[in-house]
Amino acid sequence: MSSDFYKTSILPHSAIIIKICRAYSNSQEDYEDYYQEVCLQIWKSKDNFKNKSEWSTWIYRISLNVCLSLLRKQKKQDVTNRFETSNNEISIQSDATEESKENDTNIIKLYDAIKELSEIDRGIILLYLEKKTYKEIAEIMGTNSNSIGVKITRIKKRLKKQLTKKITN
Amino acid sequence: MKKSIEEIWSEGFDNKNFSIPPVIVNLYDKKSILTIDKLKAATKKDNWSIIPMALIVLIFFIIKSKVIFGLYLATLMLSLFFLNRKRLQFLNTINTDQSCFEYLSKIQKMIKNNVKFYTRLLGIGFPFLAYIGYRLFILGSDQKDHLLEIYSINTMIISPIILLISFSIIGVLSFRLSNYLIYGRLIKKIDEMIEELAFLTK
Repeated sequence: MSSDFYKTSILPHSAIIIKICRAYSNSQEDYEDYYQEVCLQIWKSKDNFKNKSEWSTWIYRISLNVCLSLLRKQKKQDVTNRFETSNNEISIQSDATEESKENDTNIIKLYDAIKELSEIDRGIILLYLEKKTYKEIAEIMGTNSNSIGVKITRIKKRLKKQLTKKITN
Repeated sequence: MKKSIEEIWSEGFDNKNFSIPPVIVNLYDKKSILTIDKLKAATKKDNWSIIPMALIVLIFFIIKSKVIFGLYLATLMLSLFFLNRKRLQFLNTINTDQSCFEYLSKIQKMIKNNVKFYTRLLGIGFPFLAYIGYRLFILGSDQKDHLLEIYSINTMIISPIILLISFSIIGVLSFRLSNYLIYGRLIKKIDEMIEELAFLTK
């Protein structure tokens, strides 16, 4: 992968990839592998991008597809292997202020709650949190936009319940 | 819960550390070293499993009072163990400091050569060895006289040919099947990586 392409076309959108990879990976090592694999796939499929949607939408789509396929591949692998890695938490460096510490704790718990959702629901809620429109979510996820609103309400309800449980614990 | 999910999400990413992308390292270097290690471990385990199998075969036929036949099979299995070990020594000479495309290509070539070699060995050599074993088995059998008696001249000529062909087919098929079951996934992974690396260098 050329470093120019990475710097100009991927790095400005790295936040998207980071957010998605964190939601689908179980350890720091997995997260880094997912991130690299997504970047590689974006680079490999760059010629297929036809300007019909925004470049960021394209990145969302590839990131989700790659993470889903890596997750499925990983599930097929040795179960014991997964148990070993699932105990490693993703490391997040933190600033010292109280407020940012609280934000970090909350986001980690939110991610934990997101990880308890099904693979597809995870993708939908991530796109919703990224303020994507229902139409865009449907386009990226390859589903009908009419049902997205209902789905999001249901997912949010479940997520809120799980998050409250985690925060009170 | 004081904050909404949306607030937690947006505030969580205010921390710049959370949004720092990981450094892109040589993805394929890591992947290929891991695959080679797995291949080495699988071949070692596969080859060493021949030793206990040879012992079991030997003990089984000693108990069944077919010592010569048992010794014959155990010797064949041990020969296979040493032959495999010699052919697999190549894996230990792989230098992972080279570019991964280079050493993965070498391994791919080695795998292809080995498949060709063992297909020939099991397709041509194995039937003869198996036939000798079969004859030894009959000679060591209590029913030897009866078995030799019921063989007509025709069957004495035709049956070895049929047996040789059958052993050849069984040998090649069982090799291909076990190769696919034990190494199939790793070989596929190596092929995919080479293909991707070739694509990336374009």
